[in-house]
Amino acid sequence: MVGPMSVPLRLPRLRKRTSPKAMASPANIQEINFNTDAATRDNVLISSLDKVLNWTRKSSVWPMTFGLACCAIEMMATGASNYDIDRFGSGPFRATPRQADLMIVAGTVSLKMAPRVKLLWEQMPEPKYCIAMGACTISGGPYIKYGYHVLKGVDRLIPVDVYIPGCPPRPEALLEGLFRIQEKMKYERILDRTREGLRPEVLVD
Amino acid sequence: MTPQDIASKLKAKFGDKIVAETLDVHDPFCQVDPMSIAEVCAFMKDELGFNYLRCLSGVDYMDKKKTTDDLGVIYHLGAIPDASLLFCLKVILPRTGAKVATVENVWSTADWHEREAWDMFGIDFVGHHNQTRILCAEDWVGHALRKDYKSPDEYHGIRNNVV
Repeated sequence: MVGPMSVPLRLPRLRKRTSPKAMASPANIQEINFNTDAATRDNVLISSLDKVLNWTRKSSVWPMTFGLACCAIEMMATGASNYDIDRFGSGPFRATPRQADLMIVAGTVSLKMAPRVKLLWEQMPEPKYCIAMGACTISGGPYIKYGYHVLKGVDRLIPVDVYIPGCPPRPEALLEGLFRIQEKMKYERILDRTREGLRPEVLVD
Repeated sequence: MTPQDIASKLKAKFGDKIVAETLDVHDPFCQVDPMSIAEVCAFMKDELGFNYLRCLSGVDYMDKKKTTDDLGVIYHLGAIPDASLLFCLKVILPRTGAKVATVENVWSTADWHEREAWDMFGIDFVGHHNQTRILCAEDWVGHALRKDYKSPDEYHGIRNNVV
């Protein structure tokens, strides 16, 4: 890898790896002198970057305000106080795709709407997730044969992470779908984000 | 005013432009010549008091045996506040080159109704100021509620029909 000024790339010197167990041993803690300051000792946690980032990510899943048909009514009910999606950190429905992590495609996608759905999906920043909510979104639902203008499954358009069957699904089902998304987020890796590779592990119970 | 009164007044005024009448049914109606529908409607509104176009519907009369393949437009007329004043006008059109005069200058509400009838049945409303599709996408091909309509296999690269 040679830049325009031909500076050789210098790799950082690797230290000898210490196992996590050795790092957490009392002897080690003595060495780096955590004991001297109680505030430091009580406020330092050792974890992996993946775990911390995934935890923050899964605790603030921001869906996009985006409803197409009757499933959106159930989505609104999920957001309202009875089912209260805020309990799981997923309350703020964003009015712009640029601030959203999760697209809940709730309702019948018509072919007229399909290019717009795709545009909205492409406007969302990575990492992004998609829930296909309800029969229409999964496969076209009741319109699969005679719905001349209905998209027969939103996965013909954008990648879907979780499918929620139902017509429409109850709010509990949407919450379960959200948990599946959160479960998936827990196993993301920053340097190796092959979303396809993670899919089977998570979806098999 | 009974349906018989309305029909006789129409016939007295327009003569053979009133093609047929059926009055002993739930919704009594007269069948009108397509290109005269605007003046008949104007008469209905100004002289007979039908100030409200309740509905404008397109119809495909094709049946399974294909004894007929005509299209039609049905005008449900009403009045406010006299809710008992009800009458229908009907227009029968050939399947190819279906043309009928617009009534949007009589009742402005006919504007969108006629656009929908154009979108779904391909009925041409002569004189409409903006006859474009209202429900389907602008580049949609065909008219979806015609009984011989086949939905497209592909739309903008999206596969449509399930095999």
